Amino acid sequence: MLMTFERRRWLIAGTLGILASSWLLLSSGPVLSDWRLPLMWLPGFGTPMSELELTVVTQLRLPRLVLGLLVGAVLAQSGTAMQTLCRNPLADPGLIGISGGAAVFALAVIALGEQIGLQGSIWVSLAAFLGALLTTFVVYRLAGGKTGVDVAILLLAGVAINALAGSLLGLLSYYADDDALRLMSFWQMGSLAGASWQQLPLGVVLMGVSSIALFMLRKPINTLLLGERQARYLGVNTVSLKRQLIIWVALGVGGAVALTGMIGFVGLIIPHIARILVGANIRWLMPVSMLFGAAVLVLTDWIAKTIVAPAELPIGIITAAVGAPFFIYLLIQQKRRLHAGY
Amino acid sequence: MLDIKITHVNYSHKRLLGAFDLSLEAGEFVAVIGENGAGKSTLLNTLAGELDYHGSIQLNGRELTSWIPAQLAPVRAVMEQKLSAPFGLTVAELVGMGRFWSHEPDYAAHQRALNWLERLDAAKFAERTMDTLSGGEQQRAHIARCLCQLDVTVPGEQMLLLDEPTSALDVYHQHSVLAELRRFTQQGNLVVAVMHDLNLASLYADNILLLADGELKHFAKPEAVFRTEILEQTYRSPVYISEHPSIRKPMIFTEPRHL
Repeated sequence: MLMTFERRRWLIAGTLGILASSWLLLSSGPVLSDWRLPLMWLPGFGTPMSELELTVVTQLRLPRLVLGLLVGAVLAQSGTAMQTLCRNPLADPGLIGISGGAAVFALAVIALGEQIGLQGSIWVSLAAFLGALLTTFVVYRLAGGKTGVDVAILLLAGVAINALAGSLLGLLSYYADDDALRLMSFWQMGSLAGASWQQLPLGVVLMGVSSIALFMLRKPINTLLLGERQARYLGVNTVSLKRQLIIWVALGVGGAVALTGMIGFVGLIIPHIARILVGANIRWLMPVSMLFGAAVLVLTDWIAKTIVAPAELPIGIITAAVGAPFFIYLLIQQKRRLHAGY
Repeated sequence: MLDIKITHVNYSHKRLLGAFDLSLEAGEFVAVIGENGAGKSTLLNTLAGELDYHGSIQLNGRELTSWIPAQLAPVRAVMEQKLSAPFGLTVAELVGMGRFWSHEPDYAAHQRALNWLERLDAAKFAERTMDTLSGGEQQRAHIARCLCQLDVTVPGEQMLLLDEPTSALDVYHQHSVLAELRRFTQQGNLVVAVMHDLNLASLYADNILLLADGELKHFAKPEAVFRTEILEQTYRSPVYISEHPSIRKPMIFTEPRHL
């Protein structure tokens, strides 16, 4: 089967992309750059690491790499799942307001946590998950109808929720102290700079659970390609499937937002490119999207921290700079209805 | 096998279907005919369990509403009128999706899919993607998907609901598909197909179900339904009825409209 061979090639390409971008992130940065850095812990590879090198690589770059890989994979995977559920390539967790909803809840805990007695990263993550869950549910209910999801309403609901999120964030910033304010402004643009081994376990659990659960559901999700009704005819309990899908997407996106803020457009662009390469079959689309998402986010993160060194750009600025024009391009393409049936 | 006793089907206070009282038997090929908007697709959707009905519809002695999707999938397949053609999904993958309920491994589903595509003369585009196919090819792919879904070791008591299965097919494939559906009914299964081509319905169907304004008008053998007065009233056009030269089934001729 030629098809399988072609698609497998993109799995390999994605894996190589991850290796290459990981190497780049581990070995170079504003302070220490040496291509041998990722190998120096091996005996016999040049000079042993100095104390500084060891700290930079294992305490700064490695947790950042792990977080980047995880967030990239989860955002792309959630995008794939939402796009298949809505049968539309514009259903990105950021655009339809899931990230915004997560951010409002999480930032409420950051800004007001002291007053309401909920402090610590576990509450921030939990709030982000609840915010994501609530917005996904609301958006899906608003846009859903007898004949499936209405895309215009889906995007408009996203606009409304993002606007509401924006105003609530503004309100929160009014009550927040200086530290919280700094954190909030960084959050709204997304950044992986805060990665540390202390906060990683929670994120790994949240996003890992979401990712594994969605991956296990890929066969039933695949039947949604033929429409909800046909999925039911094929034997899928679509009510339960949709519920699970929304919960796992909310958990994954909530987890990602809690740790890195709002990184937009990854869930839009990556699945779209992957779909052009391997087609809409989730069996291939989901793993290829995850690999590409992880590789691209790590690469973008490396750009974010080197392009204006020694300062650092929030990664969300870069993904938005690339993503927004791409979104416009997709809109034009939708208008022309190049791909009938999707 | 399928016992329908309903008083009506409403959707948001609008009456879509009237009273039905009929039993469809295993081994039967039923062609549903009628004008545009007569309720053919609505009837099919009702039999598929998508619309709430007043009364009872029993499949194999069990009320339709008490089946869950996973139980229905091995005994009932549906081909809708509007066919989906997802971008980048190969035909073999689409057909293999019919096996979802069976939880059999992918390679087994793939093999079964290829067998069915072979039988429907569609093997040559098995590895092409759905979005690149013509309308007729997509139709054959979806019919193969339905038959692949109902492919079980001990056939019988299964139901296949098709909304215009041959509307995009050429003459050769009309006959090969309908012959395949006949073979399926001969294994003790039921086919209910909405059809517009009356002559094909006459050649292949055991019984004709004629609908008008959501009401059941006739349910009988083609010889009994395909009569001049019935068809002229239904289709509001002059109709001549003759006999097929070799198999003695009614053949319908219509009059061209002169400007």
